[in-house]
Amino acid sequence: MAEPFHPDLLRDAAARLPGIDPGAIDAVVERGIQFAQRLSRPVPEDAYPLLAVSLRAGIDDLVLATQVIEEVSRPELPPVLVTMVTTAVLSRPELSDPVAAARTVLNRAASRRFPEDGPGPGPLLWQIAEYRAALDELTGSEPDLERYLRDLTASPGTMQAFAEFLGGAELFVQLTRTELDVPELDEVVCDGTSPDSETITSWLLAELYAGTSSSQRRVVTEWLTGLRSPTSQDDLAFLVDRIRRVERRLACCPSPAPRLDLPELERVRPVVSAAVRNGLSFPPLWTDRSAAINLAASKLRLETNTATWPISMLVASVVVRSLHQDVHQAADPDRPLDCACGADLHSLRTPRRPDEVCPHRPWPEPGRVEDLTTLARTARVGDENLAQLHLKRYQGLWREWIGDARDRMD
Amino acid sequence: MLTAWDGYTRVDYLHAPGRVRISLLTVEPVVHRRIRRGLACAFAAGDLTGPPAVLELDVGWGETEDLLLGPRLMDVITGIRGPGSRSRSIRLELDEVAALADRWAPYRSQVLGVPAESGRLADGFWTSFLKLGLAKVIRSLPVAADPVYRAGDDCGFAWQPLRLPVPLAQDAGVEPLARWVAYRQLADGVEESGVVIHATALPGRRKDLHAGLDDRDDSWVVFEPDPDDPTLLVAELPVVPGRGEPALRFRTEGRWPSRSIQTC
Repeated sequence: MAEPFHPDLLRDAAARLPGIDPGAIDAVVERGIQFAQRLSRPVPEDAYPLLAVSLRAGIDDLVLATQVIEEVSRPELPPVLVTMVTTAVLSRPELSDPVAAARTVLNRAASRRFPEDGPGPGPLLWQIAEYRAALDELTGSEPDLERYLRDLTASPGTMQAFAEFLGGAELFVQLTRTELDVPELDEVVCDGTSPDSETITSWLLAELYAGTSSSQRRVVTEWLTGLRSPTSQDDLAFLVDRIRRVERRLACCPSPAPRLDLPELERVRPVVSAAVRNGLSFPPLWTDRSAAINLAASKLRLETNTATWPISMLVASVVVRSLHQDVHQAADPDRPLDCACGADLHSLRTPRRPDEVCPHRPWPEPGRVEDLTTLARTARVGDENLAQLHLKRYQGLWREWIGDARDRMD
Repeated sequence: MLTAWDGYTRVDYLHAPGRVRISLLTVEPVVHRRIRRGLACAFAAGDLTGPPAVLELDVGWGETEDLLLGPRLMDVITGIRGPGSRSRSIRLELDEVAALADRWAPYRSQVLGVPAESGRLADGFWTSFLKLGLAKVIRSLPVAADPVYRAGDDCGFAWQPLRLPVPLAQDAGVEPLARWVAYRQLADGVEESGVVIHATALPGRRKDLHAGLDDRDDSWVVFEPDPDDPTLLVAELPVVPGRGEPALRFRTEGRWPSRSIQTC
């Protein structure tokens, strides 16, 4: 394909690499020509130095995949599926234009008939099977959708298993690997002194960024700096977890606070410092708490095999709340079916006093959001005792965040 | 890993004219069910409050789909019915997914086999009852000049109870317990059949209560107070027993709005 690629620019860039010998320069240019053929897209002029480094290091597969992913990504497509389709396309060398092939696969129309009444795999598995069928058609083989669905249903059901099914899993794993490059915080002993706001700020920053990968840090920073939409689903469970870490830390901020050395802290420190001085007002993570609970519960079910729907809803209802909201230890068997705030029947809600329990509080409204009665109702477990028992026995993800609620309920 | 709550949605225009499939990409296993002609859906088996994971429906028959799908999905469907792309991906925001889950609750309870729930509309509630056996009862009645009434299976002439979901009943201002009876008669030589439904009005504010068959035609009758007993609300619904068993729908609201639905 006659796409602009300039071997001379690559040769110049390669020659500037430290300690490279002429033979290695030739090898880089040779690989570069193959790379450009595979990409079938123009290589921007400023990309040659990086390309030379990648080619020399033999990671041009990663660079190629990144280029293709960038070309075919769209906000309405799950990034993980775009990556999976790209690596599957790149694992089939006969597909000479990976960008066009990935687009064809991602756009493939549904071809499977609606199944007979009864249980079946979720539509994500249908979608993966359709991707495979599209790949088959591009490479001239005969698709077998029903067999693919059976295979996928029998697989462990992880993204890696789906990538193995489509082909190119090795590259997929490299591209989606997350490395925690900020370590978790060490245990500390509370010293009982009241910390100044500077110390609290440093501690909160440490909690917000401890044990993260670079992409997770970007998520935290975007949230704190107001770039995150409160209606977004992305990484919500991760950020709720950060909120709970912050809450736990507020009870114990001994001096001196740990100092993280991260470039984003320069931007974020004033935000957190202002929040500490202004009653811990962080940007909202949701507009409708019950929707956020449902989303978090669905993630808990996938993460924790033993979490049935009632248990996932119990745990999520205890954990998904803002810093100013808490779970009341008591039960209230006399509570009417409608919440006193009126949100059950009307779109307009009347704010409630902090000591009243109201599960419909918006993010900034302080007060109690749950008690054992609301929890038992939301999760549709028989009664308050059962709700408490389920929480006591829970051993899955987020168990550390229901511990507080559990203990307070004794 | 993705669930339907992530909102990654795929809309496919199928080969049958006017039929679309909407899929919310989730790895959670689902239960499929054909609700009626022109409507099939699947819900995550393990999510008692989840949105539909798959919907396959014929659009362009009535306002129901506008109302239940909401404006974003309807816009996408309008877009792919024209020439060009037959499939589209969109991302629904969390509140939009939640609104979809709230609106489709009655079908979710049918599919997952739990007691009938209310679906939440912009300004009211609705629900649908499957398996009442309306057509079967009507077919079992003799055709006579005087109307013959009979309720559900093996109940002789007794009324058949129907428990409306509490939010719907509250919104309409009626007792949750309603009742129905089927009838069949010859009127001027023409056979007529249907169901009569009674509800009991509670004192105080109430919205109109409507009943209709859950089919593509989208017709509704409003409950009217009995002239002799204003607390008795009556709706008469013609039913021609045909193929399959029709489901019975109820809703509050003054009108069945279209195009102007709020998403949350």
